[in-house]
Amino acid sequence: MLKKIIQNDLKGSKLVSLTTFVFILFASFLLSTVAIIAVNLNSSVNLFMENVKTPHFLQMHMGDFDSERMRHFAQSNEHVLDYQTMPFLNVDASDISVNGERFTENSQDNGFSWQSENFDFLLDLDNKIIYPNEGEIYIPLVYDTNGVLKTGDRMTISGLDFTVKGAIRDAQMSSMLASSKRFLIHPSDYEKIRSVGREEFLIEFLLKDPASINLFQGDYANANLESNGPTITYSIIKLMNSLTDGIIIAILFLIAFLIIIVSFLLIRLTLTAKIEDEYKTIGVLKAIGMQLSMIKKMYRAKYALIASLGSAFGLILSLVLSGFFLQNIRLFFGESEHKALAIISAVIASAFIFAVVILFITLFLQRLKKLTPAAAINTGIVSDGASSLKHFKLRKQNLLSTDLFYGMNLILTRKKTYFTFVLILIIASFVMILPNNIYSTMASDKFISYMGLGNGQAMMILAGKDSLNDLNSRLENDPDIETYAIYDHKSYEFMLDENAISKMWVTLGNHHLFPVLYTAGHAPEHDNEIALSFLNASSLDKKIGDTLTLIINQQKTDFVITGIYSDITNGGKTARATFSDNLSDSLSTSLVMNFRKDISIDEKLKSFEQAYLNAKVYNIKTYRDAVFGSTMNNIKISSVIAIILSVGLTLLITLLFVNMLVVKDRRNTSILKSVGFTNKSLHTHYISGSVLLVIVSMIFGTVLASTLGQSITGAFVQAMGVANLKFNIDKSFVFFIAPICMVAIVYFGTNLGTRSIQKIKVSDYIRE
Amino acid sequence: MTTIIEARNITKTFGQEKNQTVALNNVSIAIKANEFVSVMGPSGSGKSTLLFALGGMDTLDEGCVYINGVSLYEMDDNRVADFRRKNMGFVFQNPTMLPSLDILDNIMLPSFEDYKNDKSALTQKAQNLMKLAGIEGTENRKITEVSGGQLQRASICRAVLHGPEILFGDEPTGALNSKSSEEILDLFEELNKNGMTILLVTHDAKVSARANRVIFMKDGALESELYFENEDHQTRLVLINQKMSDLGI
Ligand SMILES: Nc1ncnc2c1ncn2[C@@H]1O[C@H](COP(=O)(O)OP(=O)(O)OP(=O)(O)O)[C@@H](O)[C@H]1O
Ligand SMILES: [Mg+2]
Repeated sequence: MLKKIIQNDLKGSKLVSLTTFVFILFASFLLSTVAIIAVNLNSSVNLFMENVKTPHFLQMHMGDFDSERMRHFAQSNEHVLDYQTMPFLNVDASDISVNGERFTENSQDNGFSWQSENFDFLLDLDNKIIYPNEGEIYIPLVYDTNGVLKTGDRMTISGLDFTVKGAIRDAQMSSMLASSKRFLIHPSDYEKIRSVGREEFLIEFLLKDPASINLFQGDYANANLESNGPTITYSIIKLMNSLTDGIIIAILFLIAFLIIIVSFLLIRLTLTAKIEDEYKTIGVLKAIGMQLSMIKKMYRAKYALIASLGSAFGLILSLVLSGFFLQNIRLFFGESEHKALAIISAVIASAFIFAVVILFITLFLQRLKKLTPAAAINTGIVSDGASSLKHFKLRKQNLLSTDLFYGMNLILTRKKTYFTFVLILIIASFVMILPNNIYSTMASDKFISYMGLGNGQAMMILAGKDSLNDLNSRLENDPDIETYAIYDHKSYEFMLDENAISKMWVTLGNHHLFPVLYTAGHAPEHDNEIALSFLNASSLDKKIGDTLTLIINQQKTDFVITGIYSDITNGGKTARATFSDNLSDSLSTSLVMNFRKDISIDEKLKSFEQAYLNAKVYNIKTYRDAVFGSTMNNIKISSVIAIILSVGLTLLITLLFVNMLVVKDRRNTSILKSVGFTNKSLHTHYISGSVLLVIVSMIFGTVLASTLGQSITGAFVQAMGVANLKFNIDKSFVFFIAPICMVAIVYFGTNLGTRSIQKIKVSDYIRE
Repeated sequence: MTTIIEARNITKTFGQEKNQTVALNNVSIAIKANEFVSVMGPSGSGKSTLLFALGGMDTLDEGCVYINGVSLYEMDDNRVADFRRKNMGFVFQNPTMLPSLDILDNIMLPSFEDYKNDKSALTQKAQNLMKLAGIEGTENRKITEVSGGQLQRASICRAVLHGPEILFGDEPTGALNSKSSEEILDLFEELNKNGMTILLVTHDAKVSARANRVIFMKDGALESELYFENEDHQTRLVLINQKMSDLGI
C-alpha cells in the first residue's frame, strides 16, 4: 500500500518532489564534501608537517649571533630534543633577474637557504627531501602556481646563473600570508651570493613534548638570547597552512547549512499545502479509526524516499567530485593517510542529512495529533478557517484599488503561509548581498587603514638606517612630495608580568601624519605613550589607560596605552610610540608618503626604485592587491556565484510557492471569476502580494547582510588582526541592482506561476 | 418584449470518446427581458450546464450565446468577465463567499471598483439589501460566524447589489428551510417586478410556481415549456406536477 501512496504522491507533485530531491542532494553533497576535505586536510597537513619535521619553536634573528651560547642553552634546556640554526639570505628583488628580466615579485621577502641537516626540511612534490646540485634552484610552490616562475626558467642572482629545477613545499613560508619566501640552493652557491644579501638566522628548536611550547617560550625569553625578529610556533605554522582550505570548508559548510534550512522551509511549505488540501480525508481516516502513526507514515513515505535518494546521490557526487577540492591540498601538502576515514565521515555526513530531514518531518507531522475528525470534516473547504481582519476593510479604505486591496488582504489573512516564503526570500537576498559587501569593503581605499599601513599613497622600506640622512634631505627638497613620515621599526623586550619577559615590535615616529584606524583611543602623542595593535591588546589583555613596561636599553620604562588599532602586518602584533631611540638597532625603516595631485605615482615610484636600490617601494594599493589579490578574486567569484544561486533559488521558490497558492485558491478563484473578476485582476492579486513581500524581504535581507553579515565577517577577519570591520557597501548594487533584480525575478516567477489561473473555469469548482 | 438572452444550437460534452456525456445537445432558447424563468428536470439532465453556458462561465463545443445581441463567446475572457460583472448576477446552491473577507466586504467586492467614488452610497445600498434579505447586523462577521441560510442570503445580496439586468440562480434555495426559502423567493419576485430578468434552476415545484415560464429538460435537451400569467399558486403547482409526471421526472 505504501508503494501505491508514494507513486500517487510523486505523480501529483513532480516539480516539488524534484526540487526537494535536488536540495537534499546538494545539502548531502556539500556536507559530505566538507567531511572529506576536513579529514584529508588535517591528515595531509599533519603528515606533511611530520615529513618536514616542522620546528616547534622558531626565532628569526637579524644581527650578531653567539652560536656557542645558543648551543649551550639548547643542550641544557630540559624541553629541547633537537636544535639547529639555518641561514636565510634576504636578497632584494632588484638583485634578481629571471630570463634576463627584472624580478617583479617584491611584496614578499625573498630569501635563499640550503637544505637543513636535521629537521625543517624543504620537500619536493612527493614530500622527498631535495638536495640541489650546484647551479640548480628550487622555488616556492606559490610562485609556481601563481605563474611568477616556472621550471626551466633561468634565475640570475648578482651575476650567478641558476636553473629552476622545480618547486618546494615549505611548511613555514608557503602561505601568501607569511611574508617571507624561501628558495633552495646548494651550500656552495649560497656562499657565492652571500655578499649581495642580508643574512638572517632561523633559530629552530624541536621539542620533546609539543605541549611544552609555552614553557619553552618563557625559558627562551628569560635567557636573554638572540631575538631580533619574529617568533613563530608550531600551532601558528599549522594554522597558516590550513587557512586557505579551512576558509573553503567554512564557506561550504555555511552553504550546506543554508540549503538545509531552505529544504526544511520547502518541505514545510509543500507539506502544509498538502495537509490542508487533504484535511477532510485525514479527518475521515481518523474517524474510521486509523492510527496517527499510520497516517504520519503515509505522509512521510514520499519524503523518506526522496531524502534517502537525495542523500545517497549527494554522497556519490561528493565522492566523485571531491578530487577537485582535494587538488589544492594534494599540491601543497601531498596525499592524506586517512582516505578511508574521509569516506566514512562522508557517509556519516550524508546519513546525518537524511536523519535530520526525517526528524524534521516527523516533528512537523506532530500537528496532525491536534486535528479532531469532527473539526476536519466540518470545516472542509475552508481549511485555514475564515479570517477577516478587524481594521483592514474594503469599504473603509480609499487608497487601494479593489485588486490591490484583495492582494494585500490575502497576505494579511494568511501570514503563516507567507511567512515561509518571506524567510526564503530574506535568505536569498542575504546570500546575494553579503559577498558583494565583503568584496566592496576589501576593494575600498579605506580597507588599507584596517591593514595597519596608514593612509598614504606609497610606502618605502629600507633595511637598517644606512642611507637615511641623505634620504631625509632629498625628500625635504622633492617638490613632488606633499607629506611624508619616516618610521623606525624596533623590537623591544617588555614585561609580561612581574617576572616574565617577552618581545614586541614597536614602530616609532609621528603617528598623526598617516594615521591607522584606531578602534579605541588615539595615536600616542607624548614620549610616555604607546598604542597597541588589536591582537596585541587582546592577547595581553590590555585596555586604554593601562600601563605597559618596555625595556629600553636595559632600562624599564612605563608607557600609558592611549589607543588600540587595527593591524595585520607582522602577524597583527605590533605597537606604536613616538619616543626616539638612537642606541638600539632598527629592524627596518619605512617611509610613508603622499604626492602632489598631478603626479603620476607609478613613475615617481620607479624613480625612487632606481635611486635607492636597497629599498622596497610600493604603491600602497598594489601592496594590498599583492597580499589580498587572490583572496579578493575568490570573493569576487563567490559573489557572482552567490548572485546566480540566489536568483535561481528565488525564481524556483516563487514558482513553487505561487503554484501552490493557485492550487489552494482554486475555489476562491472560481468564485471571483463567477462574480466577474478578470484574469488580469486575479493576476494582480498575486503579483501585488509577491512584490510587496519581496520588497519587505529585501529590506530585511539587506539590513541583515550589513549587520549580522558584518559581525560574522568581522569575527572571521579579527583573527588576522582586522578590528571593528565596518562594511563599505557598493550602494549602486545594494540599493539599486540587487533590489531591482529580486523584484523582477519575483514578478516574473509570479506571472509564470499564475498562468494556470486562466484555465480555471467557474464551473470547475463551484458546481456540486 | 425584447430578447435579452439567446442561445443558438449549443452543444456541450464532457469526457473523452468512450465515456463521453452529452450534457447539452443542440439547445436553442430565447429569454425575454423581465421574464422569470425556471428550469426543471431530472438530476444530470444538463440544467446547471445550461445555466453556466448562458452566463458565459464555461466553454462550448458548438453554438453561440447572445446577451442583448452581443455574442458572449466571441469576446475575450477579460471582456466576458467585465460584462458579467456589470450585467449579470449569480447565485449557486451553496454559498460562494471568500474566507478572507467579512460579510459586508464580500457583498461589496464585485461592485466596489465601479462605485469607488460613491463608496458611502454603495455601503448604504448594501446595508439596505441586507435588511431586505433579513441579515442586518451580520456585516462585520466572518463567513464562518453566520448560518448557511444567512450566508446564502448574503450571496444573493452580492449578486444583485450592482443592479444586474439578469440574475442566474442554480438551486439558490436548495439548502434553505422552507421559511427562509419563501422569504428569498419573495425577494426575487420583488426584484423581477422592478425589471430584473431571472433564470432559476430548481427541483422544487414551489419555486417554479413563482415563475412565469417553466422549462423542462431531459438528457441535455429542452423537452417542454409552461407559461403562466394569472393562474393562482395552487393551479400552477398542479400544472407543474402534472407535467413532471408526464415527462417521468
Ligand atoms: N465536469 C464534468 N465532467 C464530466 N461530466 C460532467 C461534468 N459536469 C457535468 N457533467 C455531466 O454532464 C451532465 C449534465 O450535468 P449537469 O450538472 O448539468 O446536470 P444537472 O441537471 O444540473 O443535475 P443536478 O440536478 O444533479 O444538478 C451529467 O451527466 C453530468 O454527469
Ligand atoms: Mg446542477
